[in-house]
Amino acid sequence: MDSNVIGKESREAGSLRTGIDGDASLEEARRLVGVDHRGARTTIEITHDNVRDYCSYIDSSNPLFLDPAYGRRSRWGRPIAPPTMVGTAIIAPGLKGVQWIYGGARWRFHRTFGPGDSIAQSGTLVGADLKSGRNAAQMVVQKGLTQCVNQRGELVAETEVVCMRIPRRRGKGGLSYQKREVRWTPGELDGFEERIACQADAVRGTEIRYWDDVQIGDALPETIFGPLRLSDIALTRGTIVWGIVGGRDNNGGYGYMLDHYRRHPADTYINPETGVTEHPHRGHWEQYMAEEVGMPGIYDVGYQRLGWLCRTVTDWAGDDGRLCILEGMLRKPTIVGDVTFVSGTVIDKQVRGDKGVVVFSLVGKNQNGDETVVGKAEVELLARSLRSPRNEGERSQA
Amino acid sequence: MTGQLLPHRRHNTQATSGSLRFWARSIGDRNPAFTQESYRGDTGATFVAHPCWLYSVQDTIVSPNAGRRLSVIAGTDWTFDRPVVLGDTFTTRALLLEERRVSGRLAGDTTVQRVEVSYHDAIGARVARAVSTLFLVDPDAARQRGRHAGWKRYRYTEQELIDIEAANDREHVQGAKPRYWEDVHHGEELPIVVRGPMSSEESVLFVGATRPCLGASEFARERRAGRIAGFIHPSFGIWETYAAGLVDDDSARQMGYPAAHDLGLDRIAQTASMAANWIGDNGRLLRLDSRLLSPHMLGDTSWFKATVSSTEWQKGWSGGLAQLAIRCINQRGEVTATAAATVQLPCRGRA
Repeated sequence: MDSNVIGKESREAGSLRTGIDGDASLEEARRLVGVDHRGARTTIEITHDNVRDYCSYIDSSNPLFLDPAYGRRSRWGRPIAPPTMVGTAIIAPGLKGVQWIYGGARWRFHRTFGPGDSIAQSGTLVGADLKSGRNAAQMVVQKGLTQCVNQRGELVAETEVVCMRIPRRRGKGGLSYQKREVRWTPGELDGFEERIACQADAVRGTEIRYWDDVQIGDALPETIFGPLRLSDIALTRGTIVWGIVGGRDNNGGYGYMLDHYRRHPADTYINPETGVTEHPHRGHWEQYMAEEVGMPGIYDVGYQRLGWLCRTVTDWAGDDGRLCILEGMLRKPTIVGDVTFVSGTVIDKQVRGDKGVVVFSLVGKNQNGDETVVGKAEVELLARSLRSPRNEGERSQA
Repeated sequence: MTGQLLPHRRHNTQATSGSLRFWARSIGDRNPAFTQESYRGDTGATFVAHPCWLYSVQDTIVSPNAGRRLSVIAGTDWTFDRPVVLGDTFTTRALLLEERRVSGRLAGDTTVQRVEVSYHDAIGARVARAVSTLFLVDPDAARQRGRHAGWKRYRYTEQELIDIEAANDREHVQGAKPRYWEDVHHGEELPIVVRGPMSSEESVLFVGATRPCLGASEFARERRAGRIAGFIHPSFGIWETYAAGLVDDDSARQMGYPAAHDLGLDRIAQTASMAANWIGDNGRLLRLDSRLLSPHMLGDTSWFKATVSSTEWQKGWSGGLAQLAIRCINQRGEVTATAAATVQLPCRGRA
């Protein structure tokens, strides 16, 4: 057999069974701490097209992002992008054959960006820890730090990204969610659609939300997302995960995947129907692979749920608010059919220099009342009682 | 509505480096001219797009009055006026050329539309024209008709998979070395190109690069207004778009396919890849008239074969034309697509 050909033996080495081996795994997971991570490097050209795609992904209808003419009339002097659009590369090297599960992210946004900007993203692994959970006996949690810099060399965003490395179902101590099904009546489906249609009106827009008028304990209007469609995951993945988050060397037609499988046989499994070598991350759109991973069903891309937090906060803040920090940590998987209810509460008000900052707690719950994502956000608002940051925004930085 | 302009959506309106590279890779194209911005180095030449990248600007699947019916593409006749280069921006115009009724194999009595989409650059000059043939398929009729009854997913032998890998490795890209018109002969066979076995991963990438699905709110709004079709997914019990049939077997069965299937645009584009591989950087694809004969399901492999069907001297230009007859053959030996390509090649001593 040609030595370049993957062949049955090496394809079968692709492991659905790889486990975590305590300190040895931890050592391996930390091996590249501090090293510039090749997989995080990408250049994201921000265009009206991919801003529109990202808004569609997070279900935002905010004209500040979508309408260039509207954006030019805003405080920022141009259309801007939803801030969570960049900076969430997964940095989780090593532990071949152990599944990657997105755990969450904490963004710190330094400035806005929008169409015409070119964002250079880089990142490093900053640490790893051994943990256990209710549905996985052992896991390694790897944390990466990405930096996004615009074409002028200005820091746009820094993000801590958490990735859980958990053996797949058949691995020792593997992920073991019970299979779960979601069923809705036609009336319930209609109800969700009616609510979603009304949510477009919740965009604050040009009506300035002043810091002075916000009170601790104020609630953000609840925003609902879903029922999650398979197409929300699969038919946006190419655009968002590859086109925006950043391309990997294995992304492309089968020839590109072959190149990758030869280098990384642990990233493979053999499709039981066809015998063809494929990639295990297909559990995001295939029931069989979701079950192999140990998920309760076809599961979402966690990054999308964090985008829902961003949409909820930016809808509330209005055009003159600026999201400074957003944190979202995933607690349970969201599967196809699930509905997510995102709500938030003002937990603090601060004055930083001449700026008024509002701090929120955020939570997303599914239809069963389970928390699937928890987070925090900080938003800068204009303040009547403080020296106004109006006209000190991005317009002067352009 | 024949002769009327049609409302339509666009995806990429700007040829960015990322969009050009991503799209070419999503169809498995290995040609560095389309996948590496730095390929032409300091020659002063600009990064060019794969000819069919224009599908990602507008996919030509524009069907007026579709209602609950679904547009299935049966082929595109492309005319390329000039290559798309990095930085180009686009507007498009869509026109219904013809509408007629036929008896189709998938869904019986079916409306067929021919739609022209023209692509224009920043100064309004036409860059390309695509005339696509679309079948408006009633999903209920297609499901009941069961055209693909008895279909089974193909199980590859170890040797077949090794052969596919080897063919992948052997793929020849002519590149910077000119292919001169004088050296081309009628009946000459082009090197084989293989794509696949097609995985859902590949389908996901291609759809994302070409025409991502509508977000949840917009999908609900458009479906409730009767402007696009949807169905209740039999496994998940929620509204879903028929486009999910590109990755999901259950969704595909809702419109009469036996399993998740390709969009078809990808296979058409791969016929252009074959031509582009062969002609090299100094040649140009002028026309590509493609026909899709049957769908590819996930797991299918596309073997592209082609011959030079004619050559012709081109007056007033320093080269000549060649016609290529291209076929796409699946792993079962069935011809599933054909294309006639017209390419322009340089002439030795006059280039």
